[in-house]
Amino acid sequence: MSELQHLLELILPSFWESLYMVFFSTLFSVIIGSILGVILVITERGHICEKPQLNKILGSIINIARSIPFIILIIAIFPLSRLIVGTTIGSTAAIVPLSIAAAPFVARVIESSLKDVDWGVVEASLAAGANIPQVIFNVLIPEALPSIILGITLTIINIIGYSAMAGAIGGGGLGDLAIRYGYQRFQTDVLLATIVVLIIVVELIQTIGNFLARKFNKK
Amino acid sequence: MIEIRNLKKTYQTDSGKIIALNDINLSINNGDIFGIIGLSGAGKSSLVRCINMLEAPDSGEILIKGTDITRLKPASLRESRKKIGMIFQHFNLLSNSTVFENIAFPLRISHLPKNEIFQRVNNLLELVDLKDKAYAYPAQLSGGQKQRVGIARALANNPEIILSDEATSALDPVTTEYILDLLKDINKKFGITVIVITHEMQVIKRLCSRVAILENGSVVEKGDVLDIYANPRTETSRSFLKDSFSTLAKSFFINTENNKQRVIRASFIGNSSNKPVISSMIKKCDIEANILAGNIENIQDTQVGNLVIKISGSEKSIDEAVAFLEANEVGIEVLNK
Repeated sequence: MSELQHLLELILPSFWESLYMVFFSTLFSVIIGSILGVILVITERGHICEKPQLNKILGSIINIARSIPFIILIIAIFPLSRLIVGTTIGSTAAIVPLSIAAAPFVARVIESSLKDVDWGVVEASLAAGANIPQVIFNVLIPEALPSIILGITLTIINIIGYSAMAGAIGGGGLGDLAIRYGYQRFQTDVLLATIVVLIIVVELIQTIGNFLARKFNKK
Repeated sequence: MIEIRNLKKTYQTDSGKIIALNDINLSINNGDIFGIIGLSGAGKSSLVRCINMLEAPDSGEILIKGTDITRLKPASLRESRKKIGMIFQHFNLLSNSTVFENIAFPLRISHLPKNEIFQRVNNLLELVDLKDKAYAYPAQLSGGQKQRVGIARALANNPEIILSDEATSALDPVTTEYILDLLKDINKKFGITVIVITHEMQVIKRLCSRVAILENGSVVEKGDVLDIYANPRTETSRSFLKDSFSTLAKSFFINTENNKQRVIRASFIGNSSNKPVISSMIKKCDIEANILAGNIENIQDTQVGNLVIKISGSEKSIDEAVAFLEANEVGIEVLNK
C-alpha cells in the first residue's frame, strides 16, 4: 500500500505537468494550425479565395516544418522559447516547440477534413449570397466538424508522444519521470506505472474523441 | 427581364480548349418558366451557373433587370445572388444541420432578426409540406423531401428568379411529378421567373412555356414549347422530342416502299384539331391514307394529338397531300424519307 502511495506521489506531479503541457500545446497548435489549414484550403485553385502562389508557399513551409525531427526542433527553437517564456527548461518552455511542431500537423489534418466537404454545399451557400467568412464558419467547419474532432484527437495523442520527448531534454512530465527513474535508475515499476497511466490517458482521449465525432455526425 | 448577350465560355483542359458556351443569346421574360434542354456536356450547367456567376463567362453580358451581373463587384454580386434562388440535382443541403437550419441559412446570411427567421422558415416549411420534419437531418429524409428543403431554401430570400439545375434528375417519376407541380405552383403563386435545366423532355413539356435547345455550347433552337414541339427545325430538337411514340412510329418503315408510300407523323395542336383535316385530305388528293398509330399528349395544358399515317399514291399526289396538311396547321414529320 505504501509502495503504491509512493508511486502515486511520484507520478502525480509529473502527470499534472504532462497534462499542462499537452493542454496548452494542443490549444495553441489547434489555433495556429486551423488558421493555416483553412488558408490552405480556400486559397487553392478553384476554391473561394483562389491564391495559388500563397497556397504553394504555405504548403512548402508546412512541409519543411513537418520534416524536421522533433528532438532537433526543440533544440533549434531554444532561442525562441527563451524569448517567449524566458527559459528553455520546464514544462512551460516545452509548450513552445510542442505547439510549433504540432501546428503544421494540425494544418494538414484540418486541410484534409475541409477538402472532404461536398463542393456542392459550398456552391449552394455561395449561390445564397454567402461571403468568404460565412462559407468558412457556417459551411466548411460545421460540415467537417466530425472529421476535425477525430483529427484533433489524433493531434492530442501525438502531442502526448512528443511531450515525452520534450521531457527528455528538461521539459518535465511523465516522459521525464520515466527516463529518470526507469532508464537512469533502473526502477522498472515507475517505468511501468507511467506506461499504464499513458495507456489509460490515450484510451480515454480516443474514446471521448470518437464519441464526440459520432455525436456531431448527422450524415 | 433576363437578357443574355453573346455569352462565351471556354475551359482550359490538359487536352486543349473546350468551348462550353459559344455565343449564347437568350431573353427570358418575367414570370416565365424557361427551359434549357441539352445532353450532358452541351453546356447547360455552365450557362445556368453564369446566371448567378458561380462560373464567370469569358465574355458577353447577362442583364438582370438591366444590370449586367457579370460586371458586379463581389459585394453587390452577393446582394444580387440573394434574389436568385438555386436548386440542385443533388440537393446540396448542409448534412450536419437540421431542415429548419438549412432553410434558415440564407436568412442568417442576410442577418435577419431571429423572430423573423423563425416566422419565415415556418411559412416555408408549410409551403413545401415539411412542418413535421423541421428538426430532422437531411440523412433522415427521402430524395423528394430533400428537394423540397432545397426549394424552401431557394425561396427563403423572396427571390425574383429561381435556377433549377436538373432538380428532378435524381428522383423517381412520382416524386418528379410532385416537385414539378410544386415549381409550377411557386411560379404561379409568387410570379417568380423559373429557369429549368434538364435533359428530360418530359420536364420541359410539363413545366415550361418557352425552351432553348442547347448543343455543343450553342443554342440550336429556341421558342415556344408548343411551336417547337409541332415543328422541330433541327435534328437535336427532333431527337429530344422523340418519345416512345416516335420510336413506335419508326417501326412502320419496314412495310413502306420507296416513292409510292410515305409514313408521316402529323401533330395536331389547337385549331387544326377541330377540323376534319384527314378526311378532307383524302377527298381532295388522289391518295389512300392508313392511320397506323395515334396518341394524345398534354403539353402546357394544351392537348396535342399525334397520328402516324401511311399515305399511298403517286409521288405528286403524296406531295400535294402533305402540303395540304401543312396548310391546315398540322405539324408534319416525314418518317421514311
